Amino acid sequence: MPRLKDPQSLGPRWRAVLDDCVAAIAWSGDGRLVAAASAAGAVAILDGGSGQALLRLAGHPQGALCLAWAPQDRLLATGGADGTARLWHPTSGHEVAALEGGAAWVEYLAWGDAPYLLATAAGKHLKLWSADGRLLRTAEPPHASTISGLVWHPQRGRFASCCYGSVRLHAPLKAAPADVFEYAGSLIALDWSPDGRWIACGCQDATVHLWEVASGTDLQMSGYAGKVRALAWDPTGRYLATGGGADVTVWDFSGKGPAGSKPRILSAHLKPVSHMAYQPQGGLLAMGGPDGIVSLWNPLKPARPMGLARPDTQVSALSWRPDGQHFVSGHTNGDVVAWSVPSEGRGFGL
Amino acid sequence: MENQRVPVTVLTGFLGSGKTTLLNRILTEEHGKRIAVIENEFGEIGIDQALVVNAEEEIFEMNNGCICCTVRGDLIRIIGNLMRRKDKFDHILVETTGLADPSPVAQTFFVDEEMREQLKLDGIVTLVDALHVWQHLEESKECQEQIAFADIVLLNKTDLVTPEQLAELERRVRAINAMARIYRTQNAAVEIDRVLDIGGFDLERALSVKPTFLEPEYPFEWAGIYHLEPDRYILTLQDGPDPAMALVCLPVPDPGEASLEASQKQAVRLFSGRAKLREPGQGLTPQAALVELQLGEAGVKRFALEVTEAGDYALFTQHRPEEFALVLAAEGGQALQPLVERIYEAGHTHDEEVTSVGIEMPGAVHPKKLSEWLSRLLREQGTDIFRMKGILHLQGEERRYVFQGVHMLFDGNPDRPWGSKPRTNQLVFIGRNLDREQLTREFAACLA
Repeated sequence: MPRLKDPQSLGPRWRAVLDDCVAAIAWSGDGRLVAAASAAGAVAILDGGSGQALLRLAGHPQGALCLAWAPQDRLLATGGADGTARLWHPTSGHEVAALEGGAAWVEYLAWGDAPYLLATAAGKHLKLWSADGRLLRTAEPPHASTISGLVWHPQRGRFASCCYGSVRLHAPLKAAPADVFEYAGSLIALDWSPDGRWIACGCQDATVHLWEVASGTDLQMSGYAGKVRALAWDPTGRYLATGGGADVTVWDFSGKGPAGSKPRILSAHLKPVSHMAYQPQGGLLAMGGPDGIVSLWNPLKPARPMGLARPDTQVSALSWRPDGQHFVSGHTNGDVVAWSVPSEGRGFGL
Repeated sequence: MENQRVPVTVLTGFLGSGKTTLLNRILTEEHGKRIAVIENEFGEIGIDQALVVNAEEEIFEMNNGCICCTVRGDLIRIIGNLMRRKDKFDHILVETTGLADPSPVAQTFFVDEEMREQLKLDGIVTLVDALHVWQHLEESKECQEQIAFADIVLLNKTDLVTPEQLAELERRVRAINAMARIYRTQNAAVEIDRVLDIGGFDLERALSVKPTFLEPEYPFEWAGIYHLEPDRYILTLQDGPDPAMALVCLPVPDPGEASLEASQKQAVRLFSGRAKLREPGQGLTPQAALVELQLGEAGVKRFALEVTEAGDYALFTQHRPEEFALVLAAEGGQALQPLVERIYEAGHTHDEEVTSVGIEMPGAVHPKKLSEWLSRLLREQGTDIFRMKGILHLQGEERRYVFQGVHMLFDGNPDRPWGSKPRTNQLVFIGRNLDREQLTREFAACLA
């Protein structure tokens, strides 16, 4: 067997530094700005092309936990350990509103685009807010335990949230959940397939649990080395990449689906992958974790990564530029690094 | 890697036992440690510090239904978040609610691989309200379990009870948990070093506090040291509750505590051997032998003790002397008083449900036999075994093998080399319905 060459090094396009661990990071919809929240609480607005710091928002006194850009980048929402979500004007830095999440930590945020509103998750409470900060609804009843995932599905027009024991679907303007899927386990990661068909959850008990949204039938993937903290659907909804160990497992949902099929295994990391994101357009997959490795894959060619870098500081956040040309990683030492996608073929050197 | 793991201390104790007082001390006293505190949902600390987090207990059972995989989901989430800023603190302290079962919180640091890699359970500290604990012990299994899980027990509010009540409480706590270090406190005033960074893993340090705790309950209830000149002495006994009483009389170098400790070990061995029977009127001499006085007949019974050399002599009796109004006197003389005496608690006189079993045994352990035994034991009795700890001499291993476990979960590693120290095995089990003889026999079968 020919010896595989080392994967091509990923080259950093630019770097920036925050004052503490990067708690959350997101590229704006137009690709011009990167918002990066620090675990110490401040939020930096960086130039997406150069990494230059444009604005420093006061953020959250007890530390920031999450952030999300509003549709058309009209606002930036941040959540923190001060129990609030805050809305910021992204170019002036003006604070538009501070919203009481209902518990000590606001851990998840998601914007809906039709209608245009914000969902916040804090403790057991899911709240829905208008873009100017008015409380529209509090989901009832409260979740059974602390909410551990929140996403918006634009085609389905629903928020999905998860906690220990269940996944809930919420219509934007209703208090009661539109649907509930149950599983007696601790759900710690959530993603809804872009085609709307499947909701996938990573579980503490080293499994991945899936529900077919239309029918509510569920299926489970087991055999993971540990808890599954990271999972990601590709933009078509055909492939689901799952963490749960140093190796990432990619399942194919076409045809008869994943049951009984053999997944692709992406093997380059030394510790369980904690962050993973598919390229918004195209099929590439970026990932990182506590081993301080950032890698980029074409999962259809699983033999080795397209590119790999070893910043030697744990990856704590990951986000793609919407055009898929670059992605950015945040690290526990405060580093923010933007990476370019190597042109396909170059560096394979076969 | 081991040294980079952040130590975690778990603080348990019923409402009113003084947890908040202790937490406030830890947060305000100058001790040079930076401590992140996760207080319970009813916590009373003002949360104006970034590293104090209020947590609502969320107990997550795993889908397989195994009780031992039950963890605190909230801790995994919160500590996961805290660990991103681990340069900001050196230690994590987790306060549980008063009625908390300590298993899920302890198990969290074994079950979740991320927790296990980044953190180590330094110790479980249980506060006990010296006045009200009796009622809790009777009414709640959680109270017993909190004591059983502890590495450190603080008997707090000692000013509210008499010294006798306190001594009785300490014996009760000791009967549940032979491994814990016990401190008596008022207003939870204890040196911080005694509760944080104790190295809960290090059984040796626990041993250094009470080196004999591994021994089973003593086969004798009383010992005294007398100074005796060469003479003929008479042991006089009245009618008592038993038809016979075993005793050992040994020469000792001096009437000090150390001599008593040394001779007590010898006496334990002698008591396990065969006794020479003595009828009233017969004599005995001080020597390394077990003697059983026959007390079946009614009335006063006398036994002669012949002493040929002046010196100090230790007397160990199976029962308390007052049960037989035992008197030692020179023939025709006054009753002698011992220079020192000690009363031994019989370990199981009042059938405690939760107990400790210690095993100390020399010999090299066969790793495969040990692992098979432990897996079977934990599979069959894991729910009853709250904690276990041990230092073992594994065959072919130059380093000490140190382990601890919570229910069915087990964490063990070789640590430092034995060096010139005698290689031996020490294990402690704490739990319900433990069978000391069975555990000892089964462990002995694991020796190579």
